Amino acid sequence: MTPIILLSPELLQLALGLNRIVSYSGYVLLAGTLTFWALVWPQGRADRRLVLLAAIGTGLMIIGTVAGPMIQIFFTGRPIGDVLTPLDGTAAIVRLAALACVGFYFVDIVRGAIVGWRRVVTVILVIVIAATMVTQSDAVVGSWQLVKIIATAGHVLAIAAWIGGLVAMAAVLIPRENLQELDRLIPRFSIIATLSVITLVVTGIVHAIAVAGGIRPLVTSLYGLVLLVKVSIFGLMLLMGNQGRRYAARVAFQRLHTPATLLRRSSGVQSLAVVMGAELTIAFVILSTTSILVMVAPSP
Amino acid sequence: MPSVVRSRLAPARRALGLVVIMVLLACAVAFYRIAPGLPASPKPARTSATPATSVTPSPTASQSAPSPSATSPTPTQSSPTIPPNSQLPDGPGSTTAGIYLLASPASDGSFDVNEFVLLDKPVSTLDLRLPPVSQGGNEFRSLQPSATQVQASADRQPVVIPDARIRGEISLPLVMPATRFELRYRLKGVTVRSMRSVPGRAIAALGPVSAGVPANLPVRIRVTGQAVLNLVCPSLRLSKQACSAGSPPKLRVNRNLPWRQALVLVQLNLPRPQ
Repeated sequence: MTPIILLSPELLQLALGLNRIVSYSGYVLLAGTLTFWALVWPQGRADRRLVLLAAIGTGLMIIGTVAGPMIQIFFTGRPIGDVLTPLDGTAAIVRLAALACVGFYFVDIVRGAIVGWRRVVTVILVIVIAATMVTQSDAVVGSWQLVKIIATAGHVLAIAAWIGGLVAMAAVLIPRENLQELDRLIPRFSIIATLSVITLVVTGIVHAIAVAGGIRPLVTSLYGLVLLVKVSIFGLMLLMGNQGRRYAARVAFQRLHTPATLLRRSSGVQSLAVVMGAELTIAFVILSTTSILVMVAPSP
Repeated sequence: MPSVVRSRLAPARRALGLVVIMVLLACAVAFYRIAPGLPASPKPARTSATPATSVTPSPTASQSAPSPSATSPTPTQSSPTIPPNSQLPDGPGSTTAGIYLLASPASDGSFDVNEFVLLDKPVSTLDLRLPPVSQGGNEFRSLQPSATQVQASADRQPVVIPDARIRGEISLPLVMPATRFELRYRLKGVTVRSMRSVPGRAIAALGPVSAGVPANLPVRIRVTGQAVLNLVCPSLRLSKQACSAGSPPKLRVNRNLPWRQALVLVQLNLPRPQ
């Protein structure tokens, strides 16, 4: 097949990297919001901002899933047999089926609180989407396969719960409609966030060692260097997250017990927005770093 | 949209959703089954003057790791003195375009081979074949060579070789176009024992498994081990066939062979089993 435009290897890497960021962002928005509904705030399905986040996430995931192979087919001229392995292609189509399920049945899912069968369906959707991402990762090849698959699955699910939850929290906290809920949401989300961070740290370490093939190769490779950058940003995000949660609790208290006229003059909301915005920016940088890590993963 | 209209359309939406999901799942199953037969890159001509189908990269991260079966060690081998990448001597396969092949015999007549390939243009597939040992002479025509425990990397990224084995010609798509390749494998079925000679005396035919490269790509070959006695290049003119240089245990071909003629006969005393 003749390529539409033959991209240079560098441009192709850039295009694929950007597409990966789109996919990861979509995953965080969709799976994160679904997880937030299922585990933190079942009644939040009525929040328009959260519905919008889930919709944007679904769209980004569809774009990322379809665009990945398309970029390679149309901009390199490679036949589809070269671009998709049986497992990759199957995982991509299963993900599209899961996204179609979200698209067609979203109205039914969010019609009531995400409890009971709705919670089960929501969690299953998140797991299926996460599983397709694990299938397309480097966890399914090479040595230490089982360890890498478990670690990657844990990592991917924890990311959805934590960063996705952060985005959802930001969407809930900034506006003023759900003040009564904040007191309940923040402690619940803190538990999820703590568990997610622990999972991320443990699975991250295990996965990094498994992919690099040991501690020594890890500390001496480009992969290790990029990972160090990612871990540093992650640490920074943890600090900001802690600060953000303090702010959130304070603002929630203020909003409940301060007259609206005084609240308008308060700088708490703006400060919180800045902290959360910074935190989400860092989360985006982490996603970008992860997309680079995929490209520089070393030989085991 | 008014809620009355929305509720009327709900059954149709659900039915359509079910159909779409079922179709996609059926497509997933079908894709998994037919994917191996989908059109892939045509194998580049062996005598092509340019490397492979060049700058078109391809696919997926899942192809970027080594096969788990490619790591098991083989007993009774005399380990080749293979320098790490950074310590390769200058020349083809190291600092200039070409192939650098290092081999060392084991007691069963197989060879532990390390092959370094450096191309001047990136290629998007790794093409492999078995060395044409039958060109070594009549005694090699009945041999059935195979390369096992094959490990490969492209620009230091691992490339999975199906079953870690080369049985015929294969073309593997790469995650990203690459210019530098490394292969490590055990080459079997390339040795014939010299029955009228002393016990252990044998002759083996060696050549690179890398394919899809320019026909005149320079190949330098080094064979190491106490058992190695002499090298002959049967594809060259008669006056140049005695192509051995150096002295045991480090013999090398005294010139860079063009890829199309890169076949070497190794005279050796098979190492004693340990």
